[in-house]
Amino acid sequence: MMQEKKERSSDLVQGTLDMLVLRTLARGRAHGYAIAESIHLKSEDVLRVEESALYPALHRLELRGLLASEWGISENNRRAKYYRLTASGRKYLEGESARWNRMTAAIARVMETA
Amino acid sequence: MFRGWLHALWFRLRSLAKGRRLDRDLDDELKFHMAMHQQKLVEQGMPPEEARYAARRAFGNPTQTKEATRDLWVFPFLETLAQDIRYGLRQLRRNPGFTAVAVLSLALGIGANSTIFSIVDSDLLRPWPVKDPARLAMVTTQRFKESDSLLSSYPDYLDVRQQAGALSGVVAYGNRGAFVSGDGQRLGQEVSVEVVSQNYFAALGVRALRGRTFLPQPEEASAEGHSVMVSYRFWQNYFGGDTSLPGKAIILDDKEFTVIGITPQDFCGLRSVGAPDIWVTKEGWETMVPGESRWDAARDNRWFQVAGYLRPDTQLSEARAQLDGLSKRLALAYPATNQGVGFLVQPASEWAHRGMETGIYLMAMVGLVLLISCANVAILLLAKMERRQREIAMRRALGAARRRLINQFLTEGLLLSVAGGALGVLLAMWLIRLGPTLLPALSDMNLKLDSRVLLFTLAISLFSTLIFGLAPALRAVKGDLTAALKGEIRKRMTVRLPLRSLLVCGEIALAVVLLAGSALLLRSLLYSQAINPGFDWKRNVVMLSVAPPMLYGYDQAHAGVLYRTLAARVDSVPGVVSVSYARRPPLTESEGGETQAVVIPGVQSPPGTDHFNIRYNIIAPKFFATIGGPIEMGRDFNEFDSPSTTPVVIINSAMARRFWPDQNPVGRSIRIGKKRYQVVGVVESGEYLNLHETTQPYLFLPFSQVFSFECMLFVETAGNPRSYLPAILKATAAVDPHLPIVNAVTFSEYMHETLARQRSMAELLAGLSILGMFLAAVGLFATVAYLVSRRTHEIGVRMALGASRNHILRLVLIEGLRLSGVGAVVGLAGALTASRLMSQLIYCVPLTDPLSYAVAIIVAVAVALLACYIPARRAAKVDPMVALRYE
Repeated sequence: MMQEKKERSSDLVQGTLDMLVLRTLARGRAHGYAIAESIHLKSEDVLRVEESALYPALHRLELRGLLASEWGISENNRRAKYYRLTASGRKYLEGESARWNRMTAAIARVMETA
Repeated sequence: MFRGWLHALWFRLRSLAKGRRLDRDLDDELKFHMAMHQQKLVEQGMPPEEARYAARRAFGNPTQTKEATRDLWVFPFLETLAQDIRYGLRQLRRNPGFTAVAVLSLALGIGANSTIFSIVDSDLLRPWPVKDPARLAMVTTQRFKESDSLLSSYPDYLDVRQQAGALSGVVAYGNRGAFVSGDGQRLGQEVSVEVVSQNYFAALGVRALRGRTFLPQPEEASAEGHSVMVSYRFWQNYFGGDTSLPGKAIILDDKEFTVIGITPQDFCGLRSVGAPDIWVTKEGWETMVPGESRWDAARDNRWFQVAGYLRPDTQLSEARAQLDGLSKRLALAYPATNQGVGFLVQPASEWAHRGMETGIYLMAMVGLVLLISCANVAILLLAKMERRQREIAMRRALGAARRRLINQFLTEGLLLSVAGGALGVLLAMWLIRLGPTLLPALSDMNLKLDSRVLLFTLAISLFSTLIFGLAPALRAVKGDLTAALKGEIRKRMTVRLPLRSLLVCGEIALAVVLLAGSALLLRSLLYSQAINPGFDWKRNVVMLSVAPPMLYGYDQAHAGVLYRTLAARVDSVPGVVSVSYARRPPLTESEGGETQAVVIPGVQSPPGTDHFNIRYNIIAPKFFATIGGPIEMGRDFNEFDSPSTTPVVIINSAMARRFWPDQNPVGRSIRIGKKRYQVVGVVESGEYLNLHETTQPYLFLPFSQVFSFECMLFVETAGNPRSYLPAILKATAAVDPHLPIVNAVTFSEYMHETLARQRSMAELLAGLSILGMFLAAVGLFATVAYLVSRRTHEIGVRMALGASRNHILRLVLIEGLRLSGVGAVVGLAGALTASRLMSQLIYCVPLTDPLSYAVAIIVAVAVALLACYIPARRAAKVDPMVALRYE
């Protein structure tokens, strides 16, 4: 019960992680480690996703129906859980990206003119 | 939004089902992550062992991650609930006395409700087990002037069936009695026979449990004239459930019939009371009682109930209009019988629920009992909450959410009501099994504790949780934290306890409503027994039915001799005081309501007719002397009245007053049919039909001049008539060993039977009010005991300052008296309002009967004082030194 309230206060951070995860999965299915690595690489080593934040986020997104998961065999022949975007996840991602773009543009404008 | 929520719910439910596998999967997922990281480090040139540690370190705390993730999956709600339940159970275990009283209170309240509900449900709420009961409509004949409803005649039924296009599958049925003689080994038995139109079972869609039902085609009429259907109960009781019964012969009166089938267990005919044993077609009944075939023509021979289905696309109003038209045509065509009468159409549910007020009243009363038990639990919970005030304040100070605390208290209440409900169901099961022994009126009903009753019980259990649980819970979390922590609240509480006082007053008020209701019913019952039914029911008189003699080879002349011989033989039995016989017992005319067409010279008959319809009985000499009905004027019939002398008649005083006010009717003559009769006597009027009516004109004809094949012996004995029965039966057997004499009923049994409905109602209500009063007393006791324990300190101070023990006793008693007095006054107002619901059940006493209310209040206050006395005594015994140290 109390947790929900805390979550809401860190909405921005969490929302950003969700968006990054969804964006990564937009290119195809991947397991948790691959997602973390991908974000790490794409951000040119700036963003490092904490595992303690990544896995709850993945599960939460799955609960909300934005992701679907299945068990498969990884490149090194291990049992791994793969996540992929669902239709509603794709739609959600579009909305979030648009919002993010608007927001960063606005922040950028403020920073430049101020 | 909603879909997302559903999705999450589905996932969570699935995860609940998966349980441990979910944990393992999560574990695997995280281990895989670490393995991948380790592999990467190894590929970068780190030694494997070192790489493993590095990967572990990089991962942080896997347990925490795991828990944070898992928490998403399981229901936080369920977890909390489980926690609350554990907490609640611990609380309840810690106060076993409290728990026991609360659970028992609830169990009594809920059990009583489930029992009454099952009675009302099986009696009133359930539709008949026929095809499409919602479209079934009942057609009753209605007399406009008297605005009462009658049954219909068979010719009228045929007209309804042919001319009311809005109705299909129209059936007729009427109740009659017959004697079954089995295979010679069993005793004869009088059975209830439902005489039905041939399409009855086919139209109602009732299939035979075994065998078949009557064929509906009219061309089968003569074949079905020898067929009967047997009810499930009669099949079980009389034939021992013999599966080969269909196809076998059965003797009804003296005619042989073939049993063609057995009706389903739940089908008891379209009646609200009583169940037929045997169904026979109208043609079949005609062969049994040849004289009755005249009902094909007689439109005033009304003993059929008519029912039919509304066609799918029609409204009740259409059927009503068609039947109005029909009754107008009939009135023109048959003015003598059909003028001033019409047809009333009602949905079957409405027709069958004519006794609904009783059911509603019972449910309301038993609902009051439940409210009392809820109030009890609320009182107990309040007391407990107050003891826990400090703990609750502490928990709130430590940050417990208000809602969380309320949930916790409600959960505790829920546990109580679940336990109470479960125990209540057990109680109801026991009561239902015991029901017929406790109340014989219930044995006719098909009582069972089925899913409907259980659902009802569940509903009232949950409802009661809200009633008793919410107020204390809300109250517990209210108020000043600091004061509570310092323990100051307690002192304030003792000064004014509005909620608790309200609850106790309410309980007493409800108990008064219950008590007043049952006092009214009991008074009415006593009065009913005291009114004059036209006979002295306290006499040692037994009534014996003689089977119709024509079925046993007697013609009219021989039967007349037979009756006289039977009476003479019985008269000579030692211990027999007086013997007479009559066509019918008193008080039963309501079934047939047979009348004679009487012309009174000099008195204008009702418009449109040339006579008065007056109900009658045929009696032998000494009838009034035997049953104890005094002759006010003139004389009794005697042995000199014979077919060759002047026809004579005895009338009742109501008839005398109506037709010859302020004159002596003896010696007057009246005309019945074509014959003139001379009035020779006047007897006191009694309630001949039922105990409800105002006295009606009534006349008696002598058996020696008017014959009937129906005969009932009335035997007055010196002591309890039952003990003389063997000797009486021996005497009758000596006259004719083959003629069955059946149904011996004593006057007092007969009166009890007549009053059975009222009596069982009164007993039920008395039981409920005792239960209610008991529960209210428990509540009051708990309250006063609590008050005393809270005021121990104060009492100690008072005693230390010189108050005597009596003074303390008085102090506490006055407190209890104040609570119960206010409750009693409120209850009085409630009882007066509630009594209106009882108008159908109360005879002879006004609904405002002061004595009943006074008794209710006195009983309530007396019980209340008793409940206060024990804690008051305890208070008076307080040792001042101990009390002062109490804090």
